[in-house]
Order: sequence, then structure tokens, then C-alpha cells
Amino acid sequence: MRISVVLILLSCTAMFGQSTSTFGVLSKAEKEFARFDKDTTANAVYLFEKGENFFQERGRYIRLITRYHAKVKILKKEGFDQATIEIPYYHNEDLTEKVGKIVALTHNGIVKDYVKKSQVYDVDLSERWSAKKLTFPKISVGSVLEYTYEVESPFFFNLSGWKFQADIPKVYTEYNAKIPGNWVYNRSLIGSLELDFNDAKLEKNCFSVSWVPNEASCEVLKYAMRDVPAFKESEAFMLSSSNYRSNLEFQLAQYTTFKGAKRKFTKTWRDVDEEFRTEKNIGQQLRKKNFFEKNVPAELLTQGTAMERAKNIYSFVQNHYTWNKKYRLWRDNKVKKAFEEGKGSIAEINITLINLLNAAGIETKMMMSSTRNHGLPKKTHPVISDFNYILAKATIEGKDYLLDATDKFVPFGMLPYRCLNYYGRVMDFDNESYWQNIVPEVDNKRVIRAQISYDLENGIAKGGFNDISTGYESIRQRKKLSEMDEDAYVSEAEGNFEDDVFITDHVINEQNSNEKRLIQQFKFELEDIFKEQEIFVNPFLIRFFDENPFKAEERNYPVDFGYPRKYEFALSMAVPEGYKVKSLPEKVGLQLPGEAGLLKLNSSEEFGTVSVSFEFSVNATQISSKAYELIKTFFGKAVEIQNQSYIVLEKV
Amino acid sequence: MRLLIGMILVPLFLCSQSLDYSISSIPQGFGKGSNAVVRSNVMEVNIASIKSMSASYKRIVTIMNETGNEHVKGYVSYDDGIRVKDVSAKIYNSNGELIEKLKRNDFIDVSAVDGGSLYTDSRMLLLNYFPVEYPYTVEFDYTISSSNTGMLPYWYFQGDFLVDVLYSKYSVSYKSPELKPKIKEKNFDGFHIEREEIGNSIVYSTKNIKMLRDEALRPSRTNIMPHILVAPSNFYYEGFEGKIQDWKEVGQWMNTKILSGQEVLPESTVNKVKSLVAGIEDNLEKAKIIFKYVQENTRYISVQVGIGGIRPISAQEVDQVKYGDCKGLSNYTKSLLAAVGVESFYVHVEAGKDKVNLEEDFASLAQGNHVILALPYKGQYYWLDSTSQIIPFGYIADFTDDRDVLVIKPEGGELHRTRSYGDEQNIQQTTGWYRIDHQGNIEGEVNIKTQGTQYGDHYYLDTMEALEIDKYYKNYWSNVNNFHLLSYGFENDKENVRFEEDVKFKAEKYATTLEEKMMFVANTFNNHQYIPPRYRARNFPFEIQRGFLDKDEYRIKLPEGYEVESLPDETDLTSEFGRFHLSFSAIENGEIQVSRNILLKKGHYPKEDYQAFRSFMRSIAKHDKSKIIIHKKTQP
Repeated sequence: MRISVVLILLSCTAMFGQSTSTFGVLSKAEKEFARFDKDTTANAVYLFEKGENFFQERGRYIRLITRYHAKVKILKKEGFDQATIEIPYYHNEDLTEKVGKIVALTHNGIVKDYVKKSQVYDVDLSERWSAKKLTFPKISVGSVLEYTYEVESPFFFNLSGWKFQADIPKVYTEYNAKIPGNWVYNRSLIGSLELDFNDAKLEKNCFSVSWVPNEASCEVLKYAMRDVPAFKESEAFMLSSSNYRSNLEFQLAQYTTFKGAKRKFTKTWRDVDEEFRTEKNIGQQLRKKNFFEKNVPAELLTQGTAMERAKNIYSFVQNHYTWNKKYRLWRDNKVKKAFEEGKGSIAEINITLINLLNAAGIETKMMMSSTRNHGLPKKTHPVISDFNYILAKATIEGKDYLLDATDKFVPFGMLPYRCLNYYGRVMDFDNESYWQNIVPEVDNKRVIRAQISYDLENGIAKGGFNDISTGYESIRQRKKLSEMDEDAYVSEAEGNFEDDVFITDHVINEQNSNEKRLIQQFKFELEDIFKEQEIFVNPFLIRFFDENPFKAEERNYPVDFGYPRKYEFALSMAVPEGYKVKSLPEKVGLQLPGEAGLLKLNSSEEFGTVSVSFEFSVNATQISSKAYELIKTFFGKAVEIQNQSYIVLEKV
Repeated sequence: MRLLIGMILVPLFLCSQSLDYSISSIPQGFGKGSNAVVRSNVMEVNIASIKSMSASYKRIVTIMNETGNEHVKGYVSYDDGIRVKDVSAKIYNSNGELIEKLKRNDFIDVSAVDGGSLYTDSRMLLLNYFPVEYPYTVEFDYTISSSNTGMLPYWYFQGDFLVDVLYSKYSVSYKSPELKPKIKEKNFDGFHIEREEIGNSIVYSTKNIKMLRDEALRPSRTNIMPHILVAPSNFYYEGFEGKIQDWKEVGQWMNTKILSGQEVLPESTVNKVKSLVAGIEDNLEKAKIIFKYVQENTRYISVQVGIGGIRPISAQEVDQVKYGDCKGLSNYTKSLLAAVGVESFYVHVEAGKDKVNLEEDFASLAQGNHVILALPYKGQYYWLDSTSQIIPFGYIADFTDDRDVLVIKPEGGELHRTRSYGDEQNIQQTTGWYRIDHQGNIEGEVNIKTQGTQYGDHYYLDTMEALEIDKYYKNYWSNVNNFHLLSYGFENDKENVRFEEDVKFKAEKYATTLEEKMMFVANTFNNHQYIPPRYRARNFPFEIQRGFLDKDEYRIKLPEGYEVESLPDETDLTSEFGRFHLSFSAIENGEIQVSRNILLKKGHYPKEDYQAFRSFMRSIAKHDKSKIIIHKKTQP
């Protein structure tokens, strides 16, 4: 829906230049290249980049081979960081990819300086990823860095595609693959850039192994782009950049061994559903009802209405577990062990939740989803690695609830912000799986109602305010309250004031607060009060924000707020003795098209009291990049109102 | 007491079974408001011979909340020269019950590579425990051994904020008197730390140190936290023996064992740089040319392997690959300078924004984290940092300025103070004008000139991308809502260390319109005065590490048909911390002249003055918000 996925069709385009480049030799054009006209700000540029995947028998095993060759030209000093590269490789407990044939050199005119073997270092990146790391010698502006390497992999799923777009532009980038019919990969092109070259043809008798007499046919693929712009991240409020970066993705769908055994990976959702039903890891973990029945208090599963049971179970799991910051969907799920230790991954915690809800007779399905940072799952065909999250979808009294018990502050029926990524796939083991939308909580607001009165004789002012937050705003406040001690919390609240304020009292009104609403009451004092003839009081004692979060002049990707939000401020101010109101802030009423947002300011004076009320809401969760200017202006106006509204008072 | 000498050599291990790790066993007055309570922190160092030392460490800490997790400190570093003999940990819940035991294999073995290095052979065994509930207690211990005795562990009795320390002990024993290390006590005032020396061992211990709160502008930790520095007199390091009593000897050892032989350059490079300075007699001029050559031809890349921790890679190698770390690049520059007949000295310095001195009366190899060069010229030193490709010759502000450093001369080491940047040398001059239109929109031009330390805050603009520059100005003038950058230009005068920015801008609705009036904040271009936070009771003295002087002068052109209704009064504030002046005057053609000066002085002040300092800064901020009111002229 929100990503552009284009299935690549077989087509043929005319050849164009620069599709070959000899290793170790610079063409005249490469030597003379000094500036990338399409982006003169570029610090460095790929002159040429080519990757290649094919299969080969090596030492009686079939291996996936990746070959890579690149030439990068340094255009400015700031591009020097391109000179340090990492070549990642994957390993598990038993097998590892091998990086070999690394040749890297710096061209300075006709002089070539090679990286020595001893200058290639081996570093760990994570549990299953390591890298060869090197830096090029003798670089300066104008140097061309050239390198090539080969990766030999026992992991066929690591034929993962091609990244057309990088943080620097590319003049020409090309990907080739030669895939015997034994392997089937799904593929998708992500991002808005189009391929300049797109060719697929069949080559007969192109692949064989020593233990089988026949030869397989191959699909021979070639994709290329020229003049690819650098990918630049946008500022605040953005979904994962992987939704927008130009990338050709491959996913292993099926593998037929040369002895004829067929292994399906993922092809259709029907295959996936079938696999989940029989699969050991998640499927089995979801069938631990008996274990949980034995290990939780019986009344948790039986007492109260369905809704009461569901809420009790939800908070039981929330409190029982600490999330270990791991997602861990597809391996090492040990829900029993996690339960015993009281800590687990996203999958383990929410599988516990699903098990318990089902044990309590509440119909609950597992839903696979993806966090905002991880990107939107592709809808064209199932890509299991697009998912990194498991949620529970419970149906209670005919109504559906999406639940995630991994965050102790998130109330029943709401999801953590990281999960607000539009949709997921519900795995219904009895029927077919289906897409399910993720709809965020709508009531997310912060309301501040303040009153202030002046005691000019003693030069002080006193006042108080109620701070009411709901939905995601209340989660934010509750987290803050739990992380800070009272002193620090109050000091921070004092810091939100424009003036040097002392907070003399702070209480939480627990009586009127609940899991989705937090009411706090503050009292404050202010010293050094005005005495001038004419004074200007900004009614916004507290500002929700005093700078526009949108600063860039333009935006390439949509603005995504995740959830609708609303801010309200109201002040009631007794006109100080000896003064009268000369003017009040001007009324403002603005609305974004389609009721996407509202901005209002009102003020009035009655019986010696000035009232000012402000309302700012953004109802849409996503705004397209075309409407960026509008949303930026809208926020700018809200900043202007908060910073530059004045009640003008004048001595009588 | 002498009878006990024989016994002291038997390691004193804490008897963990007898200790109560339950939360209730934390004595009254501790654990409240703190993130962690260190129940016991013990380091026992044993120097068995000049080529053999071991250290046993045991730390028992109760973590009170999530923020406290960083105080577990469950890691031990090692490399080819340091062997980890044992490492283990035990985790206890709040009732003091053992819930998990971790053995060596349960630790994660990771490369200790930091963001700044391409590669290092240092590794780390890291405690891999994810807490479920708070509070919990970690008992962590390790033993390491090494044949290197050149750098001995130092010890902070209290080194962190919001952490209580119930017991802390450091002991060092040595086989024979010539192996006795030197120890320097730092910031012991106000703490009860006991020292005991029996036979060939020295023991420091303390009990019940209450947590400290962090405070803005406090002195660096090395100047307030109680700790000891420990250094050997006779030692062995990566193949070299040494004897160090004073800084002179550190220098001599560095010269003979570490630096000698590293300065050789290929003939071709020597010829090349000679030709670069051909015809130039003056050493300073020559040095500038060499420095520029190094900046243009090398870059900073750090690879730390083995003795590479203190020895620079050879000048020859840097010449080949054209990169190096601070040691390698400084040594390379030094060698190039020598090739053209200019003498310079290799310098050890503790670099950072905080000014930290090398200890005058306590020489050791372990002090200092950076290398620069000292260039003697006409009775003074110029300080050269070869790790940056863009800083001006001799510029060291904010990183190695104003501190005692070790200058390694052929005859030995000497401590010298690096250049300090005086308050009035750190200038920022902002001049410009803007015009207000009838809607309250503004448009104008600003020129900013910076020098001294303030140069360092601006000159890197020259290397930034357009989008970043746009973002920079929107943040720099975040007080101006709806700001748009129209154009910009920079002039980086490296010779005189002056940076100049020319900016054209516009902003909608800067002035608030109120019927016939308009109102706006007069200080448009330099309105980010820092207000130090308020403390109910200030504990530490405070420091202004570097002073500065800002001078702002600009004109505001009023919209046609408007005149000034009221201008804020002229302000003059003077205190021991500095001066502030702000004035406004209506000049001809419907223009207002704004003039603002602020001088803040470098200094070290007692905590009693903090309130006054805060008031001074607050009143500046308050005056910076002064508003100008204009109104429509009444029609005659």
C-alpha cells in the first residue's frame, strides 16, 4: 500500500555504456570524472559497481558465489570516510561464509597502491555476522578506490538481491545472477527509482554437479540503473527508510536438490500457513496450553467475564515478564524456559499471552507484524523476514483487540509505538491466514489547564495547573515518572516554564486517573513580577513545543505520526489590581484539508478574568511528502502562537 | 604488628558465604535515591617480579534500578599481553538468594574496538546477564596476569554519581623494595581513606561513602573524586625494561625504547619536502608548509596492535599508506620537520574538553591519551595536532589547550603548559540588519566573525553539505520561527584563525502584530544564553573553563509608516563573572540600532558563588528577551 513494489517482468532494453569496467584499469572518463552533475554536493560517487551471483560446485558441495567489483571516486575531503569498508559475512554454529580474493587498491592518476593482506582485519559485528575490514592507502581528493572480492556461501537464502541506492550517488550499478532452475527466488523492487536495464533470459545446460549426469537450465538476469541519487534520510516522524530505499530483494522460495527432493520455502500464503501448522518452533510453542494451565493460578483463567479474564491475563503477563530486548521470531523460542525465568523475547512473551488467553477460553490468534523501524511487510507475496514481531489478536464479545504484553506501561488494547506500522498477518491455523490492519488508539492528548493570579505588592504570582494526558501521551508521562525521582521530575517540569518558576506542590490524582489517563496537579510560584506601565504577558506559561520539528525545506518521504494527537492549553488569569486589559491575543482558527488537523486560539475577558484557550490536533497518521509544506507551516503557526501571543495589560 | 608480615602474603579473599546480599542488609542511610550500592570493591595487585604481575578484582554491587545497570561494570579487558586467568559472576535477588552463576564460557568475548579505531587487538569478556527485577546484586570477579608491569591499575574509591560505596579497598604487594610502586593520593579531603603499609605491601581502604549528585559546571572528575594513581618505578613493557622516577626519565625511556628508529623517511620524501621549503629560512614558515603537506596528504586511521598502544607506527609506514593515528601522524610530522631542519618534540597530553593536567610530581606512562607536537620558536612553543586535516596551524582550542603536558626532548621529558585562549581572544562578532514588513515578516543579512575557541565552534561549517548547513542555521537561530536560509558564504582565514560567515535569510511572522502595533524580541541573532540549572544545595565548586566575548551590532528597519513606541532601557550588568551590555537607539530613517556585548571570564569559583553566577546568567537571558514595540504613525 505504502511501498511501491514492482514485480519485474521479462523485457529487453537496449544496451548502454559503462556496463563493463576492467579491474585495475581506469578509463579516460573515470580518470577525468571530477564532479557529479546531478548532485554537486556529493562527496564521493560510485563510478561503477557490479555484483554477480551464481552457483558452483566446490569441494563436493554446491555453493552460492557472490562476486563484487566497485570503483569509487573521492570528490571531496568529506568523502574520505568512504575509504574504510566492511565486507560482512554470515555464520552459524556449523557453517560459515568465506570471503576471499580481496583485492583493493587506490588509483592516484597512474599510480596504484594496493592494500596488503596484513592490513585486512577480521571483526565481529554481531552473534552471526562478522566482517573483513580495511581502509585504502594514500587517498586524496581525486583518488579512485577500487576493490573486488568473492563470498562463498553455503546459505542459499543469502542470495538476497542488490542495493541500488547508497549514501552516495552511483553513476552505474549493475546486478547479475545466473540461477539454475533448481532454485526459485521471489523478487521485488523497492523504492521509486526505475530500472534502466532489465533483462532475463534462459540459458540451457548451464549448470551441473559431478554426482548427477544431467545439466540444468538457468535463468540469467541482469538489472542495472544509472545516475542513482544518494539516499538521504528525512528528519522527524518517519517510517523505516527501507520502505523507500531503492533495493532489489530476492527471497528463496523453493529448492529442488539434484536428487530430485523438493524443498519449498515460501511461495504463497497457503504454503506459509501449512508450514506454520506443522512447524516445530512457533507452531509448537503455541500449543503449550497445558503447561500454562498448570503454572498459573487457576482463577486467572476462570474468574470473571471474558473481558475481565482477558485484562487480568494481560496484566499478569506484563508483570510476569521482563522483555530482554530481543525479537527472536524464528529460532530459539523456548517459552517454558522463558516463563520460568520471567524474561523473554517478544515472541516468547506474546506466545505466552496467546496460550493463556486461549486457555481461558478467549479466542486468540497469533499475528505477525513488523516494527516501524523494520519496514512494511510486502503484500505481493509472503516474505517471512519482513516480519519481526508477534502480537496477539483476541476476540472478546465479538470485538477484536490487538495485544502486546512486552511493555509494562502500555494499557490493554493499545500497542507500543514501535508497533504502529499499519498492518500484519493473522495466522489462523484452522483457516487461511489474512491481513489485519493495525489501528492506533485515537484518544491521545495532553491537556493543561492553568490559572494564575498576581500579587503585585509582594512582587509574586501564584498559580496552579492540571496536567491531563491520555493514550500515548499518558504512557510517555508515566514512563518519565517511573524513571525519575520526584526532585528530578519537578525540576524538569520547572524547566518547561518560560519563567523561573518554583513548583511548590505536585500530586498525582490517582482517583481520576486510570491506565489510559493520567491527571497531575501542580502548584507554583513566580518571583520578580513586572511593574511597568504597560506589560505583555504570554499566556503560554508552559509550551508543548517551542520549535518546529520540521526544519527541512523539502521532504522526500511521507511524514508518519503513528497516532493522532491533540494538545490543549487553557489559562485563566485574574487581571492584576491596578491594571486593565488593553488587548488580547487575536483569534486563530485553522484547519488542514480533510480534517487532518485543527489549530485554534481563543481569548476573552469577563469579570476581571482573562481566559485563553488553545487547541492543536493532528488527526491523520500519515501525510504525503507533497503536503509537507502544509504540515510544516501548520506546525510553524502553532509555534508562533505559543511563542508570540500576548495579553497586553496597562496601568489604570 | 611485625609478626603479621608472613600472613599478609596470603591473599585475603572475602568469604562470600557469610555475606548477606539481601536488600535489607544495606545499612540505613544508603540505597535511598542512589542507582546502585557498591557493597564491596576490591583490587589486589601483586608484583611478583619485574616481568610478572597479577591483579585480582572483586566487585559486589546492588543495582537499585534500570539506570543503575551501568554500575555492574562486569567486564575485563585483555589482549596479547594480558591473560585472564579467571572470571566469574553470581547474581542474587533482592532477598539475597543466589539466582544465577556465570562461568567464563557464559561471558561474551568481544572486540574492544571503539568508534574511532579501524582495528585493535584489545578484547573484552563481558558479563551477559539481563536483569528481571530490581534491586538485584552482582558479585563479579576476575584475575588477570601479565608480564607487562609498566601500567598498574589506578583506583577510584568513589568514581560515579548516584552510587553509594560501602567498602572499597586497593592493595598492592611487591616481591622486593625496588618493585615498590609510587602512589599518589588525589582528592582525599573530606573522605576517610586509610593507608597501611606493612612489609612489602600497601593497602588503602575506606568505608561508607555516600552518593554524590552530578552538577553542571563542576570540575572534572579527576579533580573532585577520591582516587589514587599507581605507577611502577622499575618495570617491563612489551620487551623493554625501564626505570622511571620523574618525567625526565619517562622522556628518556620513550626516546630510547619507543621512538628511536621510527623517524626514518624514504629518500624521495625527504627530497620532496626539502623542495617544498626551498628558499625559506624561517623555521616557523617551514613548519607551516610541512604541516599543510601532512594535512593534505594524510588522514586519521587508528590501528592498535601490541606495543602500538604506545609506539607510533614508523614514519616510513605512514609515508606509504598516508594514514595513521595520533602517534603515527605526529611522529611523521616530526620526521618531516626534522628532514627540513626544524626541531620539534613529541608530546603526551590528556586531551579532551575538560582540562586535565599530567601530574607534576608523579611521572607515569599511563597518563595522557593523545599525542601532539611542540615546536619551539623564538622562546615559545607552537602546538601542532596532526590528526585533523582542517584545523589551522597551531590551533589547539577545546581539546589540548591550557594544560600541563609532557614534552619529550632528546635529553628527557619536561612538563610544559599548552597555550591558553584568553577570554577576550575568544571573540564572536555578529553584525547585520533586517527589515520588517507590514505582516511582521523579516528579511536581512548577518555577518559572523569568530576567533579563538569560538572559531572552533564555527569553522567546520566550511566542510558541511548544503542540507546540513541549512539545518545548522535553523538550529542556530531556532529562536526565529519560520526561518529560511536564502544564501550563505564562508571565509576561512586559517593564517589568522578567523572564520567569517555571510548569511541572507528571511522569516515569516517574526514580529507579532497587535492591531496598530507590532512587537518583537530585539535580540534576534544571538539569543541562546545558557542558564545554569538551579540546585537546592550546591555541593561542588564550579568552573568556567573558557571565557568568551560576544559583540553584536545591528540595525532593524521598520515598516513604512511605523515608528518606535517603546524601546527597552539600556542595561549594564557587571559581576566577577563578566560583563553584559545591551542598548537600543532609534536612529534616522525609521531604523533601530541594537548593540549587545557579553564577556564571560574563565575562572574557578567556590560553590557559595554559584547562586550569584546563576542570577547573573538569568538576568542576561531575561534582558535578551526584551521586546521592542512599534506602532503606526498617526496621520497628520
